[in-house]
Amino acid sequence: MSAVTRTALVLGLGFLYAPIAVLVAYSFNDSNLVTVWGGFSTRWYAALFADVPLIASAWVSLRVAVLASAIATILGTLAALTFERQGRFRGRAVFTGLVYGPMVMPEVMIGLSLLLMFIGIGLDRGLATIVIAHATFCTGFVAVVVSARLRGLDRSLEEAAADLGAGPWRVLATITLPLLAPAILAGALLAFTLSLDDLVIASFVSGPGATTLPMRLYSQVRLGVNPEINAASTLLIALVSAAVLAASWLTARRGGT
Amino acid sequence: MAGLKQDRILARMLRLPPFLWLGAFFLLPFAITLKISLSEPATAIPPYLPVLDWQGGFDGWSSFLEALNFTNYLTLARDDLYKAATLGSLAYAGAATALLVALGTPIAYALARAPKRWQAVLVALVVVPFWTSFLIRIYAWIAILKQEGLLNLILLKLGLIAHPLVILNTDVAVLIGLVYAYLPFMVLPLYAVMDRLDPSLREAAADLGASPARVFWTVTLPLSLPGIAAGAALCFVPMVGEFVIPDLLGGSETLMLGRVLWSEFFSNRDWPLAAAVAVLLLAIVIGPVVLFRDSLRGGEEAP
Amino acid sequence: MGPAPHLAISSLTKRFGTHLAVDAIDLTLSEGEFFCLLGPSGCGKSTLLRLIAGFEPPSAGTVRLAGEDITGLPPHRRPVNMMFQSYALFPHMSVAANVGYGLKGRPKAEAEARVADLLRLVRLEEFGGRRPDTLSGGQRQRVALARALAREPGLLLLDEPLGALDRGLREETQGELRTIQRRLRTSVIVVTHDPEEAMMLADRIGVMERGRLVQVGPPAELYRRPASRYVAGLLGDVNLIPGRLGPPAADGERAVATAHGPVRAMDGVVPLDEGAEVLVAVRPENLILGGEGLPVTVSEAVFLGDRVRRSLRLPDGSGLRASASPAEAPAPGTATRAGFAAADAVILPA
Repeated sequence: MSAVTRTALVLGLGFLYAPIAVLVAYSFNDSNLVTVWGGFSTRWYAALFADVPLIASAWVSLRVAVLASAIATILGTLAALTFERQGRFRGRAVFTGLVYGPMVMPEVMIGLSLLLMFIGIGLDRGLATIVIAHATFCTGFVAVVVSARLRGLDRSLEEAAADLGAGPWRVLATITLPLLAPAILAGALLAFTLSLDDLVIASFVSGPGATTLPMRLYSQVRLGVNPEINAASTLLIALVSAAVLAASWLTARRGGT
Repeated sequence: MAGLKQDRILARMLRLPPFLWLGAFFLLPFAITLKISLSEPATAIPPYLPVLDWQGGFDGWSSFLEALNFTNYLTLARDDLYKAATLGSLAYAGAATALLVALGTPIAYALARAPKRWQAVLVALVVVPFWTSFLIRIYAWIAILKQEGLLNLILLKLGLIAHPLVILNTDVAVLIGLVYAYLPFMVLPLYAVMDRLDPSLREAAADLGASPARVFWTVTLPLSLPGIAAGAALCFVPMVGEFVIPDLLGGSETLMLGRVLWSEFFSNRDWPLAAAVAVLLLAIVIGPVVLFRDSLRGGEEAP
Repeated sequence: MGPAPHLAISSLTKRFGTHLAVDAIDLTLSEGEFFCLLGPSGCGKSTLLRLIAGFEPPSAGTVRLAGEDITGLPPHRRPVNMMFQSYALFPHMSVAANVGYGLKGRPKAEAEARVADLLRLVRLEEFGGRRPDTLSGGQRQRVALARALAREPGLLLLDEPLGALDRGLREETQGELRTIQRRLRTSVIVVTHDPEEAMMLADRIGVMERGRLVQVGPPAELYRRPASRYVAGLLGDVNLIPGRLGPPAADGERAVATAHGPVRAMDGVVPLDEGAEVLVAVRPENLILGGEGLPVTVSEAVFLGDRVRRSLRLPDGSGLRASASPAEAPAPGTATRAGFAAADAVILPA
């Protein structure tokens, strides 16, 4: 690698990780001021676990993410199968717009329109409405991931199965879906992350008792820098890095996708 | 797949659930938003008029339609605030996208040229920040960019400046935030395109006497343009409606449509006006989306 | 008339948009016959195979198998099995699971026994538990064959089955293929672009050009009596001498007036009138040097082990190729005469 490209890479990664490094470093700072290093301390982690509203909101976020990503994965996989395995059908352009639309619409718009609808039909806002909203905007992302893999899948495998007497359902169940499994999992993880991370949409459509972690963090952040957040971030980063490492190790062991 | 094409029942069953769900939770809300943008605010629950009386029959519908008006859109057109916000959104998104292209291209190129056995690790390194909370990472920039923040601390200590720089709550901070947040969305699709370029093209150019720089400018870059377009589209469109970054890192004069919508809704409680802003936002975004439709679909490969 | 045909294709046509891939093909196969579809890429042979297997619906025409019309049946309901060019082995299943995939619905013991039999047939008894990606090309090909045979199809289709193998392995597999086929008495259609392979495997060959079957017959017949210059050139090297056709004769042997003198050749498949512009097709191994015939100069001689290939030049500059055993002279530079027996030459339309 030439010096130029090496520099670009180092600077780029440095830029990406600077804030993360800051968060991790200051999560162990005994002082709550950025300008002063008060010594190594884990008091913010202790405070974090004692912070009941924060833990409660994390629990809400987790439940929402699991439910929403499950729904989005099912809908997104069905959409991908439709795009890649069905030719023209009436309403295909509309279907495409419906699936990919929420991905490009600004979040404020999705949040607002869903809230207006929930009010219009008299649905009480709470956990369920957040799940519905998240599932709606995550479906497209799952569809993209699964579609990409489907496109690369050797059609002759499905044809061979049909040639050997498997009807369309059996081909789907024994050949297509098993071979898609890594992509479906990747899509589910993507939907899970997007749901966990969402602030704007959740703010619009949530209700009493359904405060998500980003919502709680946002209200705290507006009040000022709070070192507990650094601790929470560090934990999250550690968790995610472990997950990504595990995922790549698993893929490498299997011999790649 | 001959089987699926011939078996229509299975095909219909496959596409029905997403169709119904998205029709109910995406299309319908959008229609409702449109309708409400044509209403007036009121101190009532819900805080707008007219409300369609489902039981009203034909009379209900006709009096409903009569009460709709375009006041909100006129407000948007006349009031300078909204013009400024529209221009602001486009300007910020445009500037950030340009910066992303300038910064993302060398990074993507470096990734693509890295030794094969390192590429997976490097790509994972680029991806990991994406998977950690967006909100938290923006919040970290507050700690870095504020007047008593880390950046000023370092610059003062190094003697490069005499007084702390005011970066937070300015346009610069917003641009930094936008570029930071959307960098993976620019780098990854571009890297995917560059990685797939036939290496023998580069080698042929070198064989014909081109220096590495010339090879990059005359062979690699032109062939990577679809990836650049995809990355740019993937970044520009959501940036126009961005809320969190201008809200946390920007100042009171950072006018973007996302913030305007939020404050109309939550602060002013003017739902119809907020709905009109939403429709406006959609109108602005539709153009680039249609233009870049293929780029978006081609470039969107999940981290 | 013999027994009813096993496979009967009638006016089978397939159009992709404006492109006519398969043009009203009629073909019949008898039971247990080994048939080769031969032609260059793009001639429609793979499309024809897919039409028979059911992966493409035809634009027109019918397919009948053992008397039953299967044209409207989807692939999983046709008593036809196909071996794919890429083998299409299911990567997430073991060899045994691959081979047994088509046996769903049969009692477990019976299916397992059948899988074992098939693996024995293709000499892969020990490989049942392995995954396809751990096998060599030749081994994967045998798994694909075993899998296609599992359901004892009346008709087996093979799409360029030997293309991916190297020469030695290919010849060995060709032999195995014929042995297995004869043992099981399955009708087979093999699609190939390799004329030597077609001639080695087939009972009959069907030559395709641009979606049409231009000639069908046993290999020897196609080699010695091609219907056109296309078929002649496809099956091996051939000399084509232009000339004008003489009067018809009772025994089929006619005179042709060429630029270098008169020759005699056999009537071809296509009837032609006296005076027509024709080509006389002579295989290089049938040219006899040193006797009577057309005046030539030997321009080059290439030693190929069992033969010497000589390039000959005619007075007008055009060339002929002769192929003979090394014992026969003459050396390059010699002027001599090239002749042939009328029975070894065919008259083709120009």
